[in-house]
Amino acid sequence: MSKIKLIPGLFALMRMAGTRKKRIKEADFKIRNDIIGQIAKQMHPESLSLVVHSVRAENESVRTYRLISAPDSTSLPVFQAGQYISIKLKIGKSQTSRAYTISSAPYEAEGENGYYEITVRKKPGGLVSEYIFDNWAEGVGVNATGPHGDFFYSPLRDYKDIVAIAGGAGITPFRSMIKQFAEKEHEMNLTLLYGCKNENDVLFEREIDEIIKTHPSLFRRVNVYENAPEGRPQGYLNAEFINSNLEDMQNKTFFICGPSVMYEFLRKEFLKVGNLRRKQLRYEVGGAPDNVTKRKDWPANAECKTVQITVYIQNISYDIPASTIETILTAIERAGLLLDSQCRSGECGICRSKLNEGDVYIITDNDGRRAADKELGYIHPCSTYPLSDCRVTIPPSNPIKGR
Amino acid sequence: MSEYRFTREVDAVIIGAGNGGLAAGASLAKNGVKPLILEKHSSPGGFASSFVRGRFEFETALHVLADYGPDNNRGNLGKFFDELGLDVEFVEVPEAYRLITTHDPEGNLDAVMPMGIEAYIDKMEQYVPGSRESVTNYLLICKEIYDALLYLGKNKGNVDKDVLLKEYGNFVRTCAASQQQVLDAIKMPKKAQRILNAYWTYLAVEMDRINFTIFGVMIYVLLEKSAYIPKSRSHEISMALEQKIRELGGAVECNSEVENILVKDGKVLGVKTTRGEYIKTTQVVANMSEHTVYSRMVYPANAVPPRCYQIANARIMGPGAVVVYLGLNKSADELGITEYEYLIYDSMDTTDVYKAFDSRGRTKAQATACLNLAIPNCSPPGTCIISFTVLNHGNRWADVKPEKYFEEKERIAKEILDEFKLATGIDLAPYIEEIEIATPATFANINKKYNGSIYGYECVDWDSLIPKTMTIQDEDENPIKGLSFVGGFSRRSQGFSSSYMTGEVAGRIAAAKWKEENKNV
Repeated sequence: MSKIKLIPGLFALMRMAGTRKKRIKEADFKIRNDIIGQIAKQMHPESLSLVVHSVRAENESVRTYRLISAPDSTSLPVFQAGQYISIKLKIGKSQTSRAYTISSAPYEAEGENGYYEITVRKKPGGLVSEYIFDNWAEGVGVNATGPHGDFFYSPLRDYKDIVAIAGGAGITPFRSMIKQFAEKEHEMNLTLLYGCKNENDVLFEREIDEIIKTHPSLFRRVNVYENAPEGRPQGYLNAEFINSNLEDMQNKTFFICGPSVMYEFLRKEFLKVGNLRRKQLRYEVGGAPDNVTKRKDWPANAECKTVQITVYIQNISYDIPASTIETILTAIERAGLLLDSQCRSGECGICRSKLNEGDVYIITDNDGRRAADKELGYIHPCSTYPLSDCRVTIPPSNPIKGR
Repeated sequence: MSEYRFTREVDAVIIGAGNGGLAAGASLAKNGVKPLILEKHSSPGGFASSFVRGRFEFETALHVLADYGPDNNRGNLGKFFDELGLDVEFVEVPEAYRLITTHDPEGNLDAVMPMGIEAYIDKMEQYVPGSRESVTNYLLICKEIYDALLYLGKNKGNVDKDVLLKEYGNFVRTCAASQQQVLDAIKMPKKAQRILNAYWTYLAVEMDRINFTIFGVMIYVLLEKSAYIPKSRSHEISMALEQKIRELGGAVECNSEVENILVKDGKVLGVKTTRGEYIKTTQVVANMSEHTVYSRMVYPANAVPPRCYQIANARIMGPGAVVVYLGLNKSADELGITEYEYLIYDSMDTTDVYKAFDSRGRTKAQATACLNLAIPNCSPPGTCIISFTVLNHGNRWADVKPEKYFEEKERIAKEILDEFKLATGIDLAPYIEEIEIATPATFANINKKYNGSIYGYECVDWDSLIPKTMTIQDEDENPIKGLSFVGGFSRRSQGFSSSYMTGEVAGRIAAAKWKEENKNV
């Protein structure tokens, strides 16, 4: 090995500490701004303070709420058409959240007068939707997360021919997309296949038709009704309907949004539609199903009964009752314990907790758990059902700010 | 009496469960001190994490874990993990790297370099006949540097100058030199230099300025100890460390953000969380930059000695990154991807490429890892996972309007894919099933990185491992008693292995201090 002759003098090593001291001594005292940190905070605020600007009834059981930034708050963060915000609510002693797609377009959120709209269907007996219908009026403050979710068009990933398949209130992301594409984008085109129960079930029809009229080359809409009014197509959103309305299936991206029973049905129907690749089918997450026992992988021997969950938060334990047909998250919220959540579909991982003991059923349609998490028994309580008594360790959570 | 209402007291608080924080936690706990790690996120790990999109689980940041080593030849990190008894399944990556240059005034390169010092030298001789002697020489010197650092580490800075001079003369003579000075001194052929320097993008300081010790040790450790990745993404390492910390009596609390480090009379009193909880402790280990801690976290602000700002401001902020994660609906084999790691540069003029980091976009350098080449079943059959990293200084993203941000990400991702196609002839675009694009703003948001920097501070001669090790216990360098730093922004360069080792060392020192304070209790 050669002996390197490089640094004059032997003790360059010893000098390095001296150089360091000198550099530090010469440096200034200023506190530097973290510009990107500030921008990141504006784009992804931890929570949004919103105010109900106005309420519009779409029909008897569906209302659209226009939300604006609360006074003294910054402007609304940008989002991609199809994303959701998670509304945080305190109802009685329960703190809960619900993810609602932003049904307005991204361009409408820009600027000082920007707004988000969310469209809420009132479910009979639905804790949150009934609360919103009863309490939200002009001027009411609303707490929410910033926009999240992966259900949006990506020019690099998706085809320019978009097929939007909507069931009932699942039209909301497509209202946002159609408005945005009409205003800002003219590259892609969108065919909306809309399945409804009956005429009353159809949302935003006039508004969307207006846009289609001014951009006939970009958009097309076909409705199908379970109980069709006269002269309208009767039937279901199924393989036959999809086939009959599309000339070819390749080089198209299907965005699908509706209730979870529709997803289960459509997953089978798409097998008949033709040789579609997985990248062509993008399902929106839809929250917990109305009736979990109707899912085809629900364990046959599972009983509908009350079990006990022992919940650990920072070494304190709480014994709470739970139903086998409701999620662990629901049981925790009902007991008045805090557990932060966001997508409520198993995807985002915000409610990630550890199952120490117990049998559970997990909806795996949007399972966002990592391999190492599954191995170690972590669950996302929003998509996990307790089939026996359980012990669960949950992270501490923050109470809703403000009201 | 303290002016704060503390609700609990712990031996030590670690802020942030990133690599440095988790390693410090494990190191403290192993040394008999029970740490409480407070992590803002819903899961620990920081950059050592993963995320799921569709049927893919993406690795967030790790390309290769250096200094781990095979069973019979463990590196420092491997020894640390072994001592902890971590339960992680590691897989060796197949080759060191493939270097491709695409706009090289000195002629484009395409070289696949193997692991193992002998194999590396042989392969270099094939690409550059006549390079054997100088490359051998270079790697022997690197080994001497590596051994010298082990000697320094063992003797905790109390070194015998005669031993140092006699046994590690090359170390003493090169320690303040740049990589380029050493390459020139041993007269390595230019082409061999260009191939050897390929790994520089992992340090992101050009060859004229990068401290030779840092570069030399990095390349020596890579070739001698090979490189590994965990089978279930780096999230698996984070989870194993977390579990170990719990077993040893420490705790990791997620969803718990520290707002302030409470300081009085130059000493740490405790921390306050954003939930308003006051926790008493004498030892705080911060897994974040000095800039963040001194400008935002110490309370009251006037408890920060002005010298702290000088320490932070003297240092040079390294770049952030744009990372494109792709889940593809064809296998690596079908696509013709043959290497795990592709390092693609416009040229090996590192000064020119370094300058480009101060812009926004593809910036003349991209590091690409195809996970399936190391872990074939990391994604479903007929698919593969590939990620691209390019370096951009965070402030270059400051002038992107929020409403144009998404478009800008997609534009840059397309540039990166086009460059990959130019370099390899492989068009990935038609096969994208899932895509995610992270930018410096993403890292500022999710990882709270100052200026979105993923590379910490630049390791130039006066701000690299040696002077920092020599001054590690100096009062001048530790103006607030009980406060220490770990992770990519602390004493070593960034990178997983370095960050873990900063935690290992800081944990040992903090444990010793804690024991000193509590010996009479």
